[in-house]
Amino acid sequence: MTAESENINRLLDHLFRHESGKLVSVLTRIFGAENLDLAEDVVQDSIIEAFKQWTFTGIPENPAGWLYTVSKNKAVNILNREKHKRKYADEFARYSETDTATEQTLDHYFSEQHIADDQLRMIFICCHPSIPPDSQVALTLKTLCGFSIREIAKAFLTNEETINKKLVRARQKLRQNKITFEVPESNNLEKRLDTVLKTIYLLFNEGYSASTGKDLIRVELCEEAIRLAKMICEHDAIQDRSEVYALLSLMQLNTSRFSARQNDEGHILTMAEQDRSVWNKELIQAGLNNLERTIHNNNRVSVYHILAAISACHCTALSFETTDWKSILSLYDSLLQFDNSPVVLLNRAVALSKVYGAEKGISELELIKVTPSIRYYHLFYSTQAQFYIELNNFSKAADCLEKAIQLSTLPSEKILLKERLKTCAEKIVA
Amino acid sequence: MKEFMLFIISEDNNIEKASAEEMQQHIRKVGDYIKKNVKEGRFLGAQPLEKNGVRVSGSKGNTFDGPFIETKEIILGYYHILAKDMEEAVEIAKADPRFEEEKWSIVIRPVLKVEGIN
Repeated sequence: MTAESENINRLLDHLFRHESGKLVSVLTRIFGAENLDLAEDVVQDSIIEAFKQWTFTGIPENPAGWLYTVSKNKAVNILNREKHKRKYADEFARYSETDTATEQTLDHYFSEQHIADDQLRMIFICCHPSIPPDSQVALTLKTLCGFSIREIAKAFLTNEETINKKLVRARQKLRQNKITFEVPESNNLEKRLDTVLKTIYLLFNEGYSASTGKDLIRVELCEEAIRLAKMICEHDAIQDRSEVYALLSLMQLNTSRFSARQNDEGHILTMAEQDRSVWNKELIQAGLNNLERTIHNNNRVSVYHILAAISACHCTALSFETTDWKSILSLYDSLLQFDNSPVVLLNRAVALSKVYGAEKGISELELIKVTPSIRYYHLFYSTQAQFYIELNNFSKAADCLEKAIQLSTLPSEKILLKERLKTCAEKIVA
Repeated sequence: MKEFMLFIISEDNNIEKASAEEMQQHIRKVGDYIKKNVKEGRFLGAQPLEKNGVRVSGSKGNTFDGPFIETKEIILGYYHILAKDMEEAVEIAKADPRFEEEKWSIVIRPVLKVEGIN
């Protein structure tokens, strides 16, 4: 590839996806939230036109500008043609009395500031509480992140029809509930922002919990989640940003470890086994910077703050053994107040064992074993096995590993557990 | 060197189903391929064609023009190329990166040359 086409590559990186997000936002402002599907169609048509033309004639000097102009012209045509048929956003109807007035008014909407404002409005719309959470994620991916239905289905490991149904239902809710296209009022903003952050975190976790390989789509989900959080951080309308910074920090710190999570054969590596030199230092620094910002912004602590702080402890440790386990343990103690799910309890037990020894870890596990959701959880047994291994009790460890293998559902995890079992078995014989 | 017309044919579904990322990739790969061939003088022209058109038909002095309606297959554009013979023209067509994607067809027609005339 020539240097010139490499440059164009970089410029184009996700151009269509991100520009389509901006365009859908602006057009939804113009057409109204009840006509979201129309906005999506216009943008899709513009991209197809770009696709058909740019292949032959090359990429224009200002590709985003080209897309905006084409979308705008299509919008002008639709508005003038269907002036009496559809009901558009009231404020727009006032200005579009003549055809030329329509075009000039539209120019105004495509300014950079308006685009930023409309994207923010768009994310509040997508995450409206009347829409079910997984539909919120699907709608966000489709409209703001420019993902196709096929890509969303692939990311969620489901089929296109399921995703399409979610999208149709979401748009219906917007129409039925006559949702207006605006950033929520300040008395409602905190609660609504909560929902937005939950959705972004849900999106991030979809990408992060990659169960099969370095699937590109799933990495891109994490990148999109980070991009959306950044967008919120950078907008003036959001004053109380501590939680957003915390979430952003959490996502960046977790993503920094992405490429170390698998070895060349595609097997999952635990935190203890990962090659830390591969961790992305830039992302770690960015994550730490944002964690700092949470301190200056507000005193309220959220789940994201705690999780980010835990992640920061790991990211700044040179090795698994020299990690600041005392801090992590006390952070998990705080986390328990928000979330006492099995994973949290188990992670806390690991931290506890690091501070007080494996024996304490085992007695802690006995305490939490009473919860039904834990008793059938494969990670419980693999954690138990790990403690027994540290105490050189290989036969008990092997028992636990066998239980873990029985209960585990992921093939890649089973492989990992079976390898550990083999190692234990060898040590018993010896 | 002989002249050939290459007609790029796609089914409408192809384009509608493609994702934003796929379209971007296509523009880059096929665009590079076309640019390279133009630069090396192998392509005399390469243009996209609009979807809408008019069909003029007639006989015995009467003409009618009506809309041009393509069915499932659509001619998206053309390449006007120079090649040694049909075999080379086929090689050039096969090198088009669009064949790495969903279903595409390229129809190759030699430009008719008559000895002594053109």
